[in-house]
Amino acid sequence: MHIPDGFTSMEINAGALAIVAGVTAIAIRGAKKDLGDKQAPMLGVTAAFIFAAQMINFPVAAGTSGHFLGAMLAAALLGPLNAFLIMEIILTFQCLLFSDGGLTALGVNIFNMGIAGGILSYSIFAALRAIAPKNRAGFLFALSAASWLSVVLASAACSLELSFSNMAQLKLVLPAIVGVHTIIGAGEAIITAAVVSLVLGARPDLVQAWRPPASSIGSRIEVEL
Amino acid sequence: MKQKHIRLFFIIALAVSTALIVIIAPRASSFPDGLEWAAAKIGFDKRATESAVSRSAPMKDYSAGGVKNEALSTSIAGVAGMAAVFLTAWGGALALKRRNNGNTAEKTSQ
Repeated sequence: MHIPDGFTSMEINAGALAIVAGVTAIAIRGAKKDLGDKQAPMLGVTAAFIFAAQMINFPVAAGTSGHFLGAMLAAALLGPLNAFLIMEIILTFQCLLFSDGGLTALGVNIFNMGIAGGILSYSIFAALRAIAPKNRAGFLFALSAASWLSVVLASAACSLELSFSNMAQLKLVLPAIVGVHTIIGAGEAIITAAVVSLVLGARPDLVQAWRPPASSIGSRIEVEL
Repeated sequence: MKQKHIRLFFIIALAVSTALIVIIAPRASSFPDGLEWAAAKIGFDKRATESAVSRSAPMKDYSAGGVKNEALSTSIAGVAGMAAVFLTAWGGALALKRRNNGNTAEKTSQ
């Protein structure tokens, strides 16, 4: 759902860019304060994996295709603000090197995929996590649901922007775009949950959103040592 | 030991990412994405324009200029993009981290 030049109005582009600039400042301040030793290379590796996975378009329905977004994967591994920075870097290079997404729409694309699909979806993940069972299954359930939602929310934001830009009526564009993305979101949920379980199996300390359940103090100590 | 482990983890993750680009990306679906499809269906697809920056993007539409073989072209462009993203995210994070605890960490590394 990388929006090209010409689809969104100047007002929408400028507004999104202003919000994105503000969130970038906050995320950089957070990163300066909190980045641990393992996290600098982890940021690079996560960004590389998401960029690679985004190149794999899979057929969805009726002659359309979709690909992985990765914002919730990054947020689960590194927290929502670092995830935002990762999405921002990926989208900027996709725009400048590959002409994937327009330059005038860059702020809009970062807003959709880094804020709606990233930070906002992560806060929903956190809420789901609080009510889900405090075990691995509950964690993965909350993550899957939020991953599905991240794609749907990003596509809904995209539809709203197109309608505010007088490109199409909301009642036409919203069901068309969000409809396809409810299917793509299922792929997102499966990939995110699969990758995070693999990382949990290999290096649980690299999954920032994963907090060992209070009942298993033993495994917690092991992780921290 | 722990240090070795984490390096191995990072190397495996990068190898998997490279494999995705080299092996699978050239075979990825070329159907329009949800947005392009909706734009064509509703009829605003023709209103897409191209800024000068987009027009002169060095690897437009994920293809390396001058490489005839389409699969190879996609792979080269993809690996180049992945390297750019990797180095920027890693280098950027490193720079932020260093600026934060620079005074103490930088001196001790000597």
